[in-house]
Amino acid sequence: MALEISNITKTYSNGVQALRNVSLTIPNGMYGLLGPNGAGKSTLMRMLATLQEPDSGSIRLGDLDVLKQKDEVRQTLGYLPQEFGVYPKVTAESLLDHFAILKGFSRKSSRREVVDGLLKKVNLWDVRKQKLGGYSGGMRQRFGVAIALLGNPKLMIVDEPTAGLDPAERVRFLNLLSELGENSAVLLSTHIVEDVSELCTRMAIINKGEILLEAVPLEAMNDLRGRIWSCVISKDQLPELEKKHAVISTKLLGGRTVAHIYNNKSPGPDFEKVEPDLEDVYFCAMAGHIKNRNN
Amino acid sequence: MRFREIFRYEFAYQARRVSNWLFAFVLVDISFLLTKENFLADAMLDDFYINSPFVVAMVTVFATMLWVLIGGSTAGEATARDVESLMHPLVYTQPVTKLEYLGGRFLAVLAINLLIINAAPLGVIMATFWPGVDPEVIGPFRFAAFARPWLFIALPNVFSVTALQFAFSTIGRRATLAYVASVAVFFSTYILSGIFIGAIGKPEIAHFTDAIGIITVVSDIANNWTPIEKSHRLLELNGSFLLNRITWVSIGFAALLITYIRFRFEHVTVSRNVIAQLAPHWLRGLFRAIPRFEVPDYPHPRVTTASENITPTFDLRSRLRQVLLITSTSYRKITFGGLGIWLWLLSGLFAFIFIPENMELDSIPQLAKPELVVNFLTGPLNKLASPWIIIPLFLLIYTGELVWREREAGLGELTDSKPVPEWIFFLGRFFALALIAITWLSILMVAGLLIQLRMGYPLFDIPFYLKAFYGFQLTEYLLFIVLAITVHVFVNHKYIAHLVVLVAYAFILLGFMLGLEHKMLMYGVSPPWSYTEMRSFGTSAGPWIWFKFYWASWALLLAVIARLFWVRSKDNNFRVRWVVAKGRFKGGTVLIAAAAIMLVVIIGGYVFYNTNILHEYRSEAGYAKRLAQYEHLYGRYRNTPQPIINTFSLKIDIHPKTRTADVRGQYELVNMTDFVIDTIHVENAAGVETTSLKLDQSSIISEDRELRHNIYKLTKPLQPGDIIHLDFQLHYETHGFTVIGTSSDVLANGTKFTNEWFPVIGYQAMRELYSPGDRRKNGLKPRPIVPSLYDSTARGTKGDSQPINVETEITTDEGQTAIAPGVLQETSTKDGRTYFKYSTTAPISNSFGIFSAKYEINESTWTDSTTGRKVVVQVFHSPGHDNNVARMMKSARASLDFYSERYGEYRYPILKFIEYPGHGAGMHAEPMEITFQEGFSAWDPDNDPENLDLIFGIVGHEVAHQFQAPLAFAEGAPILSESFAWYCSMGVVERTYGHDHLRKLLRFMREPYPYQPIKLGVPLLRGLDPYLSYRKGPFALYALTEYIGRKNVDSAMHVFLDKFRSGESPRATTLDLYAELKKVTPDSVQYLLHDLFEKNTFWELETEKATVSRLDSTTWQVTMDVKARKIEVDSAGVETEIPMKSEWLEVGVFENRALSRPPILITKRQIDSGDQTISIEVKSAIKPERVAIDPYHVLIDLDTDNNYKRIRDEK
Repeated sequence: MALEISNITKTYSNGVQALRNVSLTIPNGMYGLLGPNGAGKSTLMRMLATLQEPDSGSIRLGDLDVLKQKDEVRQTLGYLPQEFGVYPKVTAESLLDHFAILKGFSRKSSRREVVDGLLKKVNLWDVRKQKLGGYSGGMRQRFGVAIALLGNPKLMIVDEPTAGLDPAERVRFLNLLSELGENSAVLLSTHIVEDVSELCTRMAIINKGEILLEAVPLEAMNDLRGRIWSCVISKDQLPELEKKHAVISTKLLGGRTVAHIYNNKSPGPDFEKVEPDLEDVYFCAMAGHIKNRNN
Repeated sequence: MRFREIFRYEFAYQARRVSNWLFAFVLVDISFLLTKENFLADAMLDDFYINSPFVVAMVTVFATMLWVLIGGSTAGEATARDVESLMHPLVYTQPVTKLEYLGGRFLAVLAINLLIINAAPLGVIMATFWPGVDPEVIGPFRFAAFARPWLFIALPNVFSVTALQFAFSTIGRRATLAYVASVAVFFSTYILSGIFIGAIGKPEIAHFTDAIGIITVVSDIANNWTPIEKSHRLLELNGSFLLNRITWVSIGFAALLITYIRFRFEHVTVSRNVIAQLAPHWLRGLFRAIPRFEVPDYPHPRVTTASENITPTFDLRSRLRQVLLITSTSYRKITFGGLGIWLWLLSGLFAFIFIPENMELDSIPQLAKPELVVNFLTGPLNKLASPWIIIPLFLLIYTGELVWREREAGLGELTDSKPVPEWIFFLGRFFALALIAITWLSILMVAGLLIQLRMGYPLFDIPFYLKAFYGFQLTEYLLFIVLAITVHVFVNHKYIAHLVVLVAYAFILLGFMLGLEHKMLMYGVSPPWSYTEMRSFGTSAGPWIWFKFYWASWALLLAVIARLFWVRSKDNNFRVRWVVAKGRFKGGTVLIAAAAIMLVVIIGGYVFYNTNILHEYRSEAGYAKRLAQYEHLYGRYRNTPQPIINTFSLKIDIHPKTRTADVRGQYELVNMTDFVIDTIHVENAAGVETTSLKLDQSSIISEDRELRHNIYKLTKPLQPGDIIHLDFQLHYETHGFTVIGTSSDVLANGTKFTNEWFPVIGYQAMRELYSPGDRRKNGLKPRPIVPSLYDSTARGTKGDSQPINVETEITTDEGQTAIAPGVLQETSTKDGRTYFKYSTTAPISNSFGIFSAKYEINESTWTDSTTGRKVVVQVFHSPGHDNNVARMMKSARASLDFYSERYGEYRYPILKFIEYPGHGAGMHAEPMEITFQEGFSAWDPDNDPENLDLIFGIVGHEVAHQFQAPLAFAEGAPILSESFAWYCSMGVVERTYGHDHLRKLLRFMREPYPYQPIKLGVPLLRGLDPYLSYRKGPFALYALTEYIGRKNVDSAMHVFLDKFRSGESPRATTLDLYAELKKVTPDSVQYLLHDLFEKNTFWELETEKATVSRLDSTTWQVTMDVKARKIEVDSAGVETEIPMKSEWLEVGVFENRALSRPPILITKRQIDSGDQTISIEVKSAIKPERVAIDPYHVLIDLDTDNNYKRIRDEK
């Protein structure tokens, strides 16, 4: 079931324009929404999760109008918000059971199966009788996934799920997410490029409420091949470099600065050609060097 | 420097908060309305300035009370918001000391709260300058009038309450805990104080539990200050008020000190419950924190379970399961998650402990009858003076917690994105709150049943309990719950929503004060229901049910609003919410909204048809206007000579089943004046339909249906002494109901109506407006409320009154007894109807009742020992209500004996005591007829620890009224009736039970309740108020008997009564009695008579020191230092000392304080004003331990305790 987002615009009452004429098509599979903090990712995610209203535009999930048929959408929706809390004195099992009822599992025996299945799936089975107040950040995040997974959603909205997870937990978490893309549309928003490169078959880059690029990660990286150059300089040389070349990113490496430059041909002998990665795609898009092929 | 920055930042932060401005706005508004609408009205009646020190103090107290309830979030936020917003790690790690941090934050919120409370004086000032306010009630602006209440009331109140709120929220690290502090303050002020005053009878303790000075200002000052004082006198900080202020300021400081000690700059890693956090360290181990634990490694097995094939369903069953889920989790959260059930159980325990203490009336225990117990445990939403006001307040707090539950836990987005329609979220919470109300009510109901058991009255009326708790009382709360949820959803800000609901609730409670009179305008309000054993719900249930149906329709509409505006989005912008609401307004919601509107219109229409079309509805002002119109139009006939009624003939048919009655009556009117009468003024009664009215030989020349005043012109003028007949027919039937319910004159059982049904002759001065403000507003000249004692016209003119004879034929349903004035002549039963014929064989006054009910009759014959005449004494009481019948009979007979011997013959052939429905315990006397309500039968004097036979005393009092002379309607009249009756009753109590029992009665009468002593006032001769009539008057007469002997006083009374007994004008005043008393008083005691009656005199007698030395084995020399003072207090409260010159007073020497032991010696000494030493030689085997001046309080002295002094040994 594909998700069609057309011409979504949203301006907050304080004048901030969160989304400008956003249109996206999200097919089954993992889809990454990449953008810096404050780009409008969460606003868009909440709209898809039926929790916020756009000023104009439409969103369709298959035959459903997401903005009007909210209850029907919620029946097939899994949503993991960027931030959420838990009742600290309640066990994982009972709170998941609570959400299972809200999700429409009214029969006790089948609900039990669903809850048990999910607790095993997110590997919280052994600690299901523990109170949620004692859960670590990663466990809590997994618990959130279990709630989002209730009812085999056709659409999963996962908002910045890896923020705050330690590296090992993040890997486990992404593995868990990757399974979900197999038979539903999973929209993952993140500001961490690796999340997308490791998981997503399609992606979009968003900044200041606008979609800068909608692409397949591999293709986008291929398209950049031969245009990204790097050089190692000292920190005080950077202003001069920026004057002469289109610097898309800089990185510190062993006390020296590694700068990546966008150029269709070799900018000079000091520069080394690099194999573009998704980070280069991201920074190029942010700097405006590449645009959506459709535009 | 850092302190200043903390203060400055906090102050600026709080000053920017919308809620603080809202609090201030609401308080200004309420203060303004209170001043303008309520105190203005009071001011008009009493004529004091609305910007007087008194009004400022009153408004300040009410404003702080309201602020305590709504303003908790200001102090609550001060430190707790750092924790709640997770800012505390940043704040706590700054180089700031605890003192700077806590001190700065506290002083900032204190400053803000002090600014907010300025709303009270501001409201008063606004009302003063408001256009259209009568300039006569505005006094000169006085700075001190505003400054003193601010310093003495506002400042200490705000300090101590803010300190408590700050302490709770800081130590508990949660802002809401400030409201717990508020509720505690409210509980102490309102409920504990109420218990100390009412149940325990220790008002002096209530002065301490009152946190905001409401008792000092509202009960002490409001009752004791005269209008002049209320206009001018400034609030003084002394006595119990000073102690109260010191107490609460100290509590404030203590709270701050504890906060300082307990607060730590630390990150609380384990979450414990509130109690655990407030508990001292060494107790914290009892509360287990949530343990952290290790997670097993995460190899991530690929789990695919069969469960993935289970799909959710969204049928009705799922929806119901969701409602049930939200209901049960919400219910459990409130019930077991915090104070919850413990609080409810505690309230039940309180009820169980304190209600039995309180189950007494006039300090005589009552039987724990279901209706009385339930009365204590229930009360409508709009009943202000009820401890159960805490139930709606807590339901409101619970509503806030439940509406915000998921969002506060951070589960809002997860929950809101689930496929659950809004109405399920709403219904789940509604049912949970309903269950909470049911649980709480069930606890109270069980407490009620246990109270009955504990008090030994196990006649449970379970169906009544169920109806009262789960029918009547629950409905009140359900309506409130819907309002609370809807406001919380709509406002979508926890504290502002609390504020809005509280303001709405204040309007429900105080609407009548603020000019909202019609019950269709105040959410949830209806005419009250009531229940008594005799008439069960009577006519009270019907109107109640219709009104509640009407409000339930509104509640349904509110529920629709709640569903439409239910918040699931992060967008709180109203424009967006409006769009969302419009989107939700479809399908079933539209149908329900339409149904709700239709119900509001249809049921509201029906209620309005009843209250305003079927019956006339008038506001207070409209009512006053009509009375003014009456006076404008007909006041000129005030002195027009009119004939008076000589004989009444009545034929009455009462139909209890249909609650109707028909009356055919005839008056024989006689011209007793010296004038020829050519027009007769006849007024019909309100509340019955006068179907026909025919006056002989006359034609109607003016008919006024609205004011019911009709004028007839006689074809042949009525000469002095001539007689004319007036025939009338009445029909009584209730049609629907009014805003105060349905008339209950005729009931299925317990019919009682009076002669007020029947037409009256002449202009009725009693109908005139008397409040000075109302008169001024309606263009009428001022008039005294009661004519002056020295106004000779008040004694009446020739032919304006005379006793009447009444002949009654009355029928009622078989099984009931109908009662009319006089002696039963014949009775018969035919076709299910019983016929009675009554006749007054001796004339009575035109004031009597007609009754019909299932009665048991207790009868005995009393014989006048001098004339040998027989008098029948009857008690008509409801079956089963025979608890006090024997006592009544005993007292009636003893009273007849004593009074006929002392005051003249009992002139009637019969004396009837008649019970009628109602909880009251008072009795009311008319000639040969004494009525009482069921409350009298509920008295249980056998359980009185004092063993005072008050019932005997009260009956003696009422029988004494039978002997009183017709009175002039003038100042002093209540002294001739009520003081006289108590004086007589004292006599019969003393004769029957002895002098000690009389002292018990006097001790009871000296209690401050129900008649609080009022020092300022007029002399007894002009006395009107209850303290003078029911207390000071009897005390004065009793004092006189101690000086000149009861026989002498009685003989003066006898002479006085004989003079006026005929009932013809001129009628008696206190001056006539006083003249007789003077005649029997020897010259040496004339000063006392003068002090007691012509002046408002009080004695202040005190024993300051007492010593004893032993002269020989049985002789003791007792020396006592006595201070004596006599003062006169005028009605403005000005005290003038009157010198005491060698006044004879009793002094006593006692073994100990217990008066049950006979004194060692009572002797009389001459006492002068000022300090003096008295030496007494006594013979006693036991060493004297106490002495007293005026030990039995013969003279009127408001502080009786200091008359006594313990003796110290002579060194």
